[in-house]
Amino acid sequence: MSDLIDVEICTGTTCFVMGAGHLLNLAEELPERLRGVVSIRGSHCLGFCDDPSKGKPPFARVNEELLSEVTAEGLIAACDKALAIEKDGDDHAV
Amino acid sequence: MRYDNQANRIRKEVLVRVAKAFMSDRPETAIDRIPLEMRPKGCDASRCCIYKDREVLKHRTMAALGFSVEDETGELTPLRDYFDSALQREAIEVTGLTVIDIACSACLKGSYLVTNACRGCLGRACQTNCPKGAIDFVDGCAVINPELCVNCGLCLKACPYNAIVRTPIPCEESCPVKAISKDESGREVIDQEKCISCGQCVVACPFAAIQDRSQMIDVLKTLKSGGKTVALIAPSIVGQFPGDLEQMAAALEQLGFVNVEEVAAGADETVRLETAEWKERVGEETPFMTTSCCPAYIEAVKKHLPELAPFVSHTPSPMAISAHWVKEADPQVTTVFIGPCVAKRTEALQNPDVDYVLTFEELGAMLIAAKIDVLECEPVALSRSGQAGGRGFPVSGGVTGAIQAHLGDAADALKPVAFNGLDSKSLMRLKMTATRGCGGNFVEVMCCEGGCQSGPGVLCNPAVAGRKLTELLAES
Repeated sequence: MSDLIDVEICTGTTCFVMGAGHLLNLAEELPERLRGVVSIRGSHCLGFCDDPSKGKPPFARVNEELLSEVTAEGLIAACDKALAIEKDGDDHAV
Repeated sequence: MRYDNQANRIRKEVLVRVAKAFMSDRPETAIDRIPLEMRPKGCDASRCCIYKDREVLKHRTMAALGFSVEDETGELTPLRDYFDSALQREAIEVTGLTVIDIACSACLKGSYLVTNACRGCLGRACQTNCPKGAIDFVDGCAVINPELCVNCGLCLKACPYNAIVRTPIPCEESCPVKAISKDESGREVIDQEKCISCGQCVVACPFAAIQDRSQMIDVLKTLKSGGKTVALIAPSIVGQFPGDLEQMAAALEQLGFVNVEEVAAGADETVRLETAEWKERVGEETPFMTTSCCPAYIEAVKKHLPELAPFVSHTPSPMAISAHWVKEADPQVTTVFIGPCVAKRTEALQNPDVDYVLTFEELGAMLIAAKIDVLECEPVALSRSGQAGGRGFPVSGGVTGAIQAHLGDAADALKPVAFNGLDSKSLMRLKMTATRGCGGNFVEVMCCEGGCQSGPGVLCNPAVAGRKLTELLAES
């Protein structure tokens, strides 16, 4: 079993106001398939809000992959993708 | 989902851009450019084209400057002119929700619709079950005649293919007092005589077509002028921003507020006064008493439930008490209530002690524009703090709980009844309590289901905010 999928939600004021405040309930909204395999944490400002080239807030990282204008659905999709990659990796290892 | 969607985020982005423009070196130019910058050439349009998007954004910017669509002086009037007149505004004279007509999608009137899943079957259960003969078959498919349909929904239940759907009009469904309806063009209009400013339609509209006149510019101007301005933070602020209350106080001081007071302290006083009033009035004078802290409920009583007026508590709301304390100590101070509520603007308009009302969305926009990160702020003490009772006000059951705690051993005499959220049905039940009684002797009414934590101006999932509040109450 590989490590948990790391979901880091930026809770700097900009991200929090623009929607991260609603995303902090993600743990409760995860579908069954993702329960127990995802670790969700809030972080201090990641600094992306100052750089328009990174997109718009709220920002989050899923296994270090940066997501902008993130939504609960977007985070769940990114977790599914990360889960698929991990499984794929495991297959290759075998 | 209900509170966080693209429509909601666009509204917040406009507020942020207006606040940033205000703080910039050339605010007029920045204000004029907001629609262009949000929908630059070549970007994807949300509606038919970017030009329509820009026109809608112009109206959103007007709302963020404190104007409604009705205030539009001419189609060629640039936003900078509205910005200038917003800066001239000395005091708030008008509040109320309005529909941005061009943003309203004029949702389909007929509540029931036959989809292309209709097989044009032989059984035609929809037609057989329709009591009004409203269903015809055209080109082998069922069609509902909106002139005859009475929205009973029997066809939907009867169809074996689930081919009939109900298409509600979200704003009309959400309005507890039927204050919003279509004009002849099919677009929604708010009847100000009926509207209780609860803001449910603002949250419900998927096109974010309903706007509230912001008071953000007025507060920004006051803060910039250096006048003594005090922030009165609603008990529901817990969980609405990162960090704790002391960090929030520091963030507000960085914005320019001289003092930050917890309205939870005013709520504690509301508890004391309301408990005394309940003891005095209930029994001989009246069979029950209702709370008075929810301004949308108070408006509903005034406009729709006059028979309930004798049962409403006379105790001032926590906002009124807190603002009065501040003005009593220094009448020169400007008071700004900050909360999740749109209806508080209506209450404030009738109370000279409250100068301005901001929502958490507006405060959030100001903090973003000023680049203040609450989590990085060094905590400072609040000039007035609340206790557990007052701090518990923003959740349904909180007022009742605080009064029970205040009654102590006598709490058994209190027979509480809760109206947790107002919709057209609960409003009806509330109306009946005036004649039939309520089945108890104390009625707590919260217009927003769940309490103020679920208000239209919140930034945080109510479940998350609820957990943060529980943590705080354990320490209080």
